[in-house]
Amino acid sequence: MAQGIRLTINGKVCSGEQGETILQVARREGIYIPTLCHDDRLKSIGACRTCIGEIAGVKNLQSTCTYPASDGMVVDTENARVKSVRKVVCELLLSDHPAELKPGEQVQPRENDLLSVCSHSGAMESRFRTGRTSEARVDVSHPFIAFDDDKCINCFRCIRGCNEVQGEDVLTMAGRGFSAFIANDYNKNYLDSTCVSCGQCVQQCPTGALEDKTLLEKGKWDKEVKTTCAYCGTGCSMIARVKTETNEVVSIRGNDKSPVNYGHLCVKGRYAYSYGRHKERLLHPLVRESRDQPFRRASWEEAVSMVVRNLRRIKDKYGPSACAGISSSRAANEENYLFQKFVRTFFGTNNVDNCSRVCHSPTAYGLREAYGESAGTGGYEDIELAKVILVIGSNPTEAHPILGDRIRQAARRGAKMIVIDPRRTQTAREADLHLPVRPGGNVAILNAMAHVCVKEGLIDREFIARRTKGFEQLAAVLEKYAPEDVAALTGVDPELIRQAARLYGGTGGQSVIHYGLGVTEHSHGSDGVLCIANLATITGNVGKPGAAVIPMRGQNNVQGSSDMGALPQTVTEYQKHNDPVVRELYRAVWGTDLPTDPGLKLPQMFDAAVEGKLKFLWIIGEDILQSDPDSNHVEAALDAAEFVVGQDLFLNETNKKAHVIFPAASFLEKEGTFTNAERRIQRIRKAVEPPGECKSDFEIIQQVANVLGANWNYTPASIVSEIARVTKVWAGVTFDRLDSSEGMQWPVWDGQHEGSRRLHTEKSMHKDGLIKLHALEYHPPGDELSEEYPFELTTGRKLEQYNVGTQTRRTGISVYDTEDRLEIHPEDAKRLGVLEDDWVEIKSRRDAIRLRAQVTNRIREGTVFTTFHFPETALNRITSGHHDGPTMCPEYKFTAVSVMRVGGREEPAEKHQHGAVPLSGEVPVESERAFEVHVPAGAARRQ
Amino acid sequence: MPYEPVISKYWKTPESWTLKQYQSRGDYWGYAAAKKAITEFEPKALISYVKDSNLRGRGGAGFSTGLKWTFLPENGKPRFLAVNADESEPGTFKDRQILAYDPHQLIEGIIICCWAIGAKHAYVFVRGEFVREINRLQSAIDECYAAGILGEDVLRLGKGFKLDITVLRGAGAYICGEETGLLSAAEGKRAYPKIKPPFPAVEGFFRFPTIVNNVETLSNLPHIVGKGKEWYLQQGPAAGPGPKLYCISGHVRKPGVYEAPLGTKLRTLIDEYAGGVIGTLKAIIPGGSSMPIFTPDKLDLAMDFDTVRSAGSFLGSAGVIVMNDSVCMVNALLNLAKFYHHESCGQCTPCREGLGWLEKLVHRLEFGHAHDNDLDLIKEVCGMISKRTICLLSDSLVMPVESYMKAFFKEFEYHVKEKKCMTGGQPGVWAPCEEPALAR
Ligand SMILES: Cc1cc2nc3c(=O)[nH]c(=O)nc-3n(C[C@H](O)[C@H](O)[C@H](O)COP(=O)(O)O)c2cc1C
Ligand code: SF4
Ligand code: SF4
Ligand code: FES
Repeated sequence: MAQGIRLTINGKVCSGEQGETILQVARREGIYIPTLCHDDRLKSIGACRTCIGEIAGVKNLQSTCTYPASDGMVVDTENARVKSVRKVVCELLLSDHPAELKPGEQVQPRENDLLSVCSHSGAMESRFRTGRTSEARVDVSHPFIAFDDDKCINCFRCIRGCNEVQGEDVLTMAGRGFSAFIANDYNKNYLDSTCVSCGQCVQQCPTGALEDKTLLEKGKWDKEVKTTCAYCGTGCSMIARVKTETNEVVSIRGNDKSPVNYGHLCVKGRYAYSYGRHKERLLHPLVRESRDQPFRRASWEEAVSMVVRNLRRIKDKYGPSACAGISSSRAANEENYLFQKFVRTFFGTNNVDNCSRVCHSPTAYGLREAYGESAGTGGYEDIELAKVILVIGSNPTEAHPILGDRIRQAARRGAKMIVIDPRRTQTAREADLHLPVRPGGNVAILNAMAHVCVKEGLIDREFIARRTKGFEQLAAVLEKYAPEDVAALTGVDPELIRQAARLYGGTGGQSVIHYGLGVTEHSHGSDGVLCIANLATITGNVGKPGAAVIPMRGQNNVQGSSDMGALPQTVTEYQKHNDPVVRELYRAVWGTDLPTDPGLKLPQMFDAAVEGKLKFLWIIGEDILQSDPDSNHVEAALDAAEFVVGQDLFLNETNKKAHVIFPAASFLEKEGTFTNAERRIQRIRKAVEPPGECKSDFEIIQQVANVLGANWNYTPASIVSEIARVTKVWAGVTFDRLDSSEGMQWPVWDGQHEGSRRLHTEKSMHKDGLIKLHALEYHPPGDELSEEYPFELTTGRKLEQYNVGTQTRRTGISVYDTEDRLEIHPEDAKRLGVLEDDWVEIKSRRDAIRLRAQVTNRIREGTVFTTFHFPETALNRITSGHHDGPTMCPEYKFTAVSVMRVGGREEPAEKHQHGAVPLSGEVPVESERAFEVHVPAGAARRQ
Repeated sequence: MPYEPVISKYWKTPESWTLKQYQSRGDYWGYAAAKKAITEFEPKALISYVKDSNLRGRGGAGFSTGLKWTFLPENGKPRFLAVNADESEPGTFKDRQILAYDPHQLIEGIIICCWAIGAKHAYVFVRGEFVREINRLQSAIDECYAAGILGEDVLRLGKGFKLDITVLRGAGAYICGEETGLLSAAEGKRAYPKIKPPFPAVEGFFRFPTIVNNVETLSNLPHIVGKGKEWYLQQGPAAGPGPKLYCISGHVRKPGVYEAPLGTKLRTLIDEYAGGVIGTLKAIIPGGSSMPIFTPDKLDLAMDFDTVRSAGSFLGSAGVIVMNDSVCMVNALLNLAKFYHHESCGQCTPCREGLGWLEKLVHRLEFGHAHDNDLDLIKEVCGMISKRTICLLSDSLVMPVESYMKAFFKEFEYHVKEKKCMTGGQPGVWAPCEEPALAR
């Protein structure tokens, strides 16, 4: 513990700690010291000199943002000497500001630190005014960011933010003296630079020199609403700035206080929100009697009664098990809870599942089997506390950018980083060790690492003896997994595996593992998760600061949707619905019995539909026809269902098969909570009113339920108290507590408990308190390589896009990215005669698609990779139809394919073999086009 | 008098930059001093010895070299020596002579220093324009590696002392000479100075403890070790003794680098060494262009660190610039203002904006567009800049501005009121000076 000190700042006696700066102490004590170049996230450079103070006994004025506080120090930052100097500093800063930057005429005064510092210093007018300089550079090339050099005060915050927070080196200062200016790499403009559009520079800029374009174009905001990002599972906290007059979000800032993202956001979170006002947004219910008819606009009453009528009819005719609901891990916790309650009470079946089935169900299963709880064992803070960070099956800088940044910054500060991934991702490039594993080789490589740990004494015997069971069996199986012996399965140099094991196991319990869908989306995905748990457990890397297993959840509420019981076999917190105690608890709270049928998992639902056993399907916020594997099968299932209800923001491939489509509200238009990958429950809040007749998923479900006789009168807040009654780990959660904090990490045991940063610190959450080790063998992937299908196809995301692109493709982000490409290794390409940009056909046992090739050594030889953001690609027509055994999570990350060149750079005539419907589908829809697409001015297309 | 030069003794000897010549000099020359230091001194004892010799830094600040070395923390981290060979201060041209004519003397100094401070790697950061100097230094280093003087076992003494020397080239910015700017540049970044504390001795090159010393400072070490500190302490005032290279330029008959002990009178330097003033003496800058200016009444001042300081200026890098009465002080100042503003790295508001405005204001003065209150405004801007910045570059202009205005106030006032030059010169045009007889 650092030593306590006492010092006097501006007459106030303050206490601080050795090693703090004067400014840090002052800020904590609520003493205002003007600053411009300082930011808590950045290393102080002491450049702007507005924070100066006089320190008794020190001759010169010092910058308080850099000067260390010490015991007995007396500081004055507001005496006459300091003030006069500060005033001239401010006058000089204002000297070349454009004339329009006068008080009262600010674009956004609350934003503008410079102005408040100047007015504090009594320097609103400058004696050094030169006005706008003629050669000033204005750069509006970027789709979201505008730069005005004249407003720049050379505080370096954008440069440091880009580097020290985001981890890029896009910006630099060029030139010297008065004419020093901010330059992009290549010294051209923002658009042609290597900018990743995270907007950290904008967030940092204290003058508005860098500003969101939307803000400049749309004018002042008058309301700030704190909410949570609805893209990936990181769960960044953000502030939406709203112009109430036009009911529009005009800018989004990161929430500086959030322990998740400390004010940082990625391009999607910060800028890809305009889809909410896209012209293709569904604005009212659409209905049709049969699939051969066009949709027509309907009133809510008509649409709801049509759904109710058909539900009753099908349920009466075929029984409850002919109905099913698919919930969404994009939707809020309250909505997932309500929907599973709705399905279980009014469909009368356990046929409810959510889309995390196809991503992280092996996590839910595996971590529960190992530790007794389906969640990450630690929090993001463990990234900074760890000595070694192992990233496996995850490309965090693109799929979870903020976590990617935190990991890379930790690595830059000295943590060692190991990346296990078939692709040479950005993290892999910067890692101390990169193990380019073969897709499907996770169990083999993890067992091999565990083997080395056991053999070389890197395991924590005391921890194993006291906290675990099953080690003997595990050790016996590991015998066979010497890295040399499984080299053919892993495809990785055994020596690399040994080095990785030594690094990971050699920290004495200060290593974290971050894993993603590259682990789960395999036919043995659950085994992969269990092997991760094994490795972490035997080395004592669980439940301690800097020691954790953290799954990188793909979507915003993957954790929450499953926590809330939108799963066939479990209700909230993974309690089995056939457990008598659970049934009793639910009966007491719900007033009805839980259904007794086993319930269908998502892929089983499709099978049942194709077999004619499932007739009624309600799908919330997921485009299963695009995002689930083996699309042809899914399509057949949808076609076979008698009645399909869709609920979404847009018309998509799936709800084009529906009979009724309910127009849903986006996350900016409703209240609720999301739970992120570190179990943090965070609020989302209504920033704007939903457009047209859109309603939140919550309202829609409640409305239909009430027509079915539910008499529900829930609000998102009141449903939380019901969840708390049936869910021990939510017992202490209320909207009020969430509102007055930066979210809470469950378990929150009661109204006093602050939440849990780590799980399993003393004992696991199994009944016996022990961690279960699993002795697991390697099994080959479901899809098999053969002479005919010699390549392993694996899939993933790109930074600028999100999943099937329903949202991102409807924002200005589309400037960056216009197609999915097939990444192929130069050696493979050479053999196949494929050149960069050539069209290739990728054929699997199910179907074939065509893409353009990108020849790159980012991918290992023998493996090909593509993204799945564009419907034209129809990637999932070819993906493997195999599933993980226990969870039925699809094997997205492994498909045996052949690759063949079919043409040069010109698009072959029959590209869309399958007639995948392009974005603005031809299905006739009458709908008001209330919104125009927002194409930011000055945005050119990037070549 | 006559004083027998020490550091510059062999500069005029043919091939003085070769190892062969260096080792043929006899006495303690030719790496005998380094050998003595390594074999007869424990590192700690060597630091104390250098400290007791009262050697003070020749780079500008005149700080005790031995004392600086004691600031290195005992934290087990590797340590580095960075040799400051960026010599860019106008009026200063001594280090380049050492690099060009006696690089082995410097290398020997580096060896002695590294033995004392426990560094295994020294970086010599040389001003990029010094092409000949860099080549001479690099060949000297190559000779040393070949002769076993540098490398795995320094001088083959079997002391387990390993030393590498790497030459780094600057890319042409004055700020690279500032010690933390130099380290930033050596790390491959823009030469941004860093705020102190932490001082480089604690957190320097790539955040490792680093000693930064000037070329001339290090070149004193072989002599301190070779001739003994007792001898050294007698060379000038005991509080800051030693041989010193004075750079004398401007309106003198024989400008050049002259070696004399610290404490030599200014008059002696100008009249006896540099051949006397051309025309009528008007002003003297004693320590490089950034130092406050002297009027002729200071001619009998002893040129050592403390005496110059108590007279209101600094010995700095001992760049003595002599001006006769053809010089307009406003014009001279404008020249400096342009230079220092151009060389400001642009980090600190007071320096970046302030020096820009000083240049603008002096420009206004010189060209006859001054506003009535400009002299006050200049003073106010100076007050805001001085000691308010990360490094001292900003003071390098403030000191001349303030001292010129004080010593030659009438001239400045004349420029404001009469909108022209008192010396009758053309605005912005340097008065032609009589062609000086070159020293050599
Ligand atoms: C703006 C500025 C420029 C400097 N330039 C040089 C230089 O060119 N050469 C030099 O040796 N020292 C220069 N110095 C001094 C160095 O910062 C540092 O004090 C010196 O290298 C220390 O070495 P010494 O103790 O051996 O003198 C400069 C200082 C400042 C503030
Ligand atoms: S653009 Fe903004 S953040 Fe960047 S240096 Fe200029 S004022 Fe500072
Ligand atoms: S004082 Fe000037 S040169 Fe020195 S760091 Fe600041 S801006 Fe750069
Ligand atoms: S905030 Fe301290 S110098 Fe800028």
